[in-house]
Amino acid sequence: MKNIKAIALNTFRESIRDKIFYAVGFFAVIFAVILFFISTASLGEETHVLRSLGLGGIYIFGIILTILLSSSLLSKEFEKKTVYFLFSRPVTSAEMVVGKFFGLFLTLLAANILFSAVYLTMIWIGVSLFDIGAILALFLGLLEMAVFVSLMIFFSSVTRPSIAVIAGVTLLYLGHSSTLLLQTATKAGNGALQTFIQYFFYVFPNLEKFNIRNSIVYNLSLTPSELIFTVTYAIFLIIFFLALASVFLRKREL
Amino acid sequence: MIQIKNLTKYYDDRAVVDNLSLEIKPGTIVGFLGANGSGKTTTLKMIVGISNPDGGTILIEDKPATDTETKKIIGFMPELPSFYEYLTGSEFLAFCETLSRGDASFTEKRAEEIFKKVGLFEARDVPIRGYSKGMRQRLAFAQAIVHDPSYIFLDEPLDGLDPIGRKAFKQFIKELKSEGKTIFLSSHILFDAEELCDEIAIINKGKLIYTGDIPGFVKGKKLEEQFVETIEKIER
Repeated sequence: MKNIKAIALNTFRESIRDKIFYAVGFFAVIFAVILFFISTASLGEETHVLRSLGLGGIYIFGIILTILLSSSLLSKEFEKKTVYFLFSRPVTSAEMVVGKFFGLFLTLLAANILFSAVYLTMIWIGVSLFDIGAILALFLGLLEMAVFVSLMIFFSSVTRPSIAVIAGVTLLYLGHSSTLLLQTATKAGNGALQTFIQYFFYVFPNLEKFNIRNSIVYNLSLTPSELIFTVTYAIFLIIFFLALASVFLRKREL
Repeated sequence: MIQIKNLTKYYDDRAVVDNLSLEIKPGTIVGFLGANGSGKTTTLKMIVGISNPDGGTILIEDKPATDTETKKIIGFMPELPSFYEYLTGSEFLAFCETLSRGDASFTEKRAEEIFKKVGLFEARDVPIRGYSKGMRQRLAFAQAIVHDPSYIFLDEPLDGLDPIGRKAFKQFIKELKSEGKTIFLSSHILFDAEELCDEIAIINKGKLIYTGDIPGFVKGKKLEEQFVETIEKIER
């Protein structure tokens, strides 16, 4: 546990001091300004527009930051050979992978807290609403980013950053499209296509499970059992991808 | 004691370390010498558990080199080290110590002693990205000894250092030996090996061609001269 904690803290320090994170702060300011102007120009639809764009904006910034930070998380260690300092010590590949995951997750948590604070403040200023429903959407958005981090760590353990990014973005797109694809195939009545997409649906991560932003904007929410299922699904995916990454890392020639 | 038996490593079907056997006695400084690309770093990486051998065994105090307890008693300084640029020297050293032992007795005072020893005391709270090459070598050395290991492996420790830095490093190594440490250092600068080492092991194209003391190898000549002659004779 001490190794995981040390690697996580190390990763968090490195990420938070990276210039990319200063860009996050800059965009948080831009985000606040945009939300402010939208709230003054929405002609009576302020609440809907603010929530929609605000939650969407936080998600997009978060995913971009996740991709930028996680795509090179492991590859930097191999290229710069800082991994020698780790594996010449009693550190296992599992500890390295889990430590890196938690370190990056903490970084994303910090960024999300910053953006969420901006969002909740702008909502309060704009429409005098404390958007408690949005907190659930933000939590699930963060959970999706955690799943994505574990996926990118897995890709980084097997290939170089550029290919890891392409693979990650592709899975991100497909992960949000699989439900729609399944519905379309079912309506089309094409048995072969439906079977293929069903296999795809169950094999690849269904990231749409974590997207409740539209529901929140229309004041809908998850039931407790749906929430428990979604959180459990995320934990399963994270453990699965990190375990795979650990196995591949152990076999990698350093 | 370090016992290496029939150590082998292949890259693309080529044996880069070929059936290497070597014993390193405790409390000695052994120079692992060879030309560039001879297999020195590959051998070192296998000994400290970074790379997996394709054959053979490595035992340190009768335990496998990859054993968790074994890794607590070894320190490794890689060649041309890179670091986590946004950490300070202190943060990096504390990080390394935690991973090696996580000893509660490791205090700020101990860290300061090490920084003073390697000449980085004034720069300990400066981000590593502001360090010069010499400072990075010193920090790499500091992290190799921070947990007071019994066996220290140094890969080209004097590479790229100015004369003052080289003198300081040689002094560090002699002090470690006086503390009873076992030091295994690889180098292609034979003059330094001649000054520091009790014994040498010479590797050429993955094969060990000599182990023993320096007088037994040089036979009255300079080490570099005898080394070059020996290699050229093998190549012919």
